[in-house]
Amino acid sequence: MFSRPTILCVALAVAGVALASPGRALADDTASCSVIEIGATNAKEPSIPPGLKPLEKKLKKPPLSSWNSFKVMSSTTLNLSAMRAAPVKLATGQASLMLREIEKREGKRPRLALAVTMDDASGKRVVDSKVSVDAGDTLMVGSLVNDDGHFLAISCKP
Amino acid sequence: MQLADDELDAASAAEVERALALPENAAARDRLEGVRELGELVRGHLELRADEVEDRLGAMWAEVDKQLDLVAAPVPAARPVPVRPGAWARLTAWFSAHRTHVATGLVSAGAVAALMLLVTPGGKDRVITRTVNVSPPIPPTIPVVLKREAPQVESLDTPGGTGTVFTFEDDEGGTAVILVTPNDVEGI
Repeated sequence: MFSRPTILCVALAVAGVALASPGRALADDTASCSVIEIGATNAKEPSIPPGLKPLEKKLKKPPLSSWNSFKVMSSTTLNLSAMRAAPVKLATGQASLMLREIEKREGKRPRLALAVTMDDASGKRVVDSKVSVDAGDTLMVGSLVNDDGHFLAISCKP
Repeated sequence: MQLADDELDAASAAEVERALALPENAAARDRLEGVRELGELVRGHLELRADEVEDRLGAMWAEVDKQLDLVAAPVPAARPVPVRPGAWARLTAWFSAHRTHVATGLVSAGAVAALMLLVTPGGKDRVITRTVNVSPPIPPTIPVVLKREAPQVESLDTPGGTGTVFTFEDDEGGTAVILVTPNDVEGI
């Protein structure tokens, strides 16, 4: 139906356009994410461990200000590749984190599109969410467990 | 001699002829005949040489005429020498020969580009950074504070519970809090 030179020209043109066009979900997009598992409760004495000092201001704002005592249950750093879910082993339950894409914008911080899941200790899915955050911003995902809080503090940078 | 060369007028020639007719002038008659015969021989020889020269001159004039004809005749065109075309000529020749193929490729590329622009709305935000040498050097500038954008929850699924989203900003950046309250627990 089509001659060989025609097919060759079309293939080269399509390949050139595909390579030259700006893609949003490039396969070489990577991000480094820190995931801190936080246990929150109410105690007689407020307590914020040194590992959570960078988050102290956030812990004193609603809804996290409902608790006054926090502890680090686990902490890990993940190197994410685009569109590959990374499992996160927690002290209680498990989670997964996936980098969907990194949007680079002129004059603005790179924006990361993430997919987060969180399961409780019994393996039941608690949260399945897709969010977009600027690089370095914090995402806290958690649930109530017997009036206590169980959270993940996630922060990613490309 | 003058009689033999026909240089005498008619009267003198007749007088000399009468004198030669006398018997005692027989030797003079023989000499006159000899001179006349010699003259004929000389003239014949000269005429032969003249004829030869005329033939040679004729050949010479014929040669001159031929040369003049050659000069006046149009110069035949030079025979073209085959020249190997250069790379650019071969390239343009290839494009000329495959004009329809290239046109098909370009049309396909345009269609694909338009399709990709339609399906990738954020493509125009791609940032290309290039480093250039500027002289004189530009003094260091104050870093520009990049604009922030609040976290955005695009989708939220909380099986067995109710999700609540809180977002706030502080000097350390934006924060989004997703809090899931189980269905069997009252709100905080």
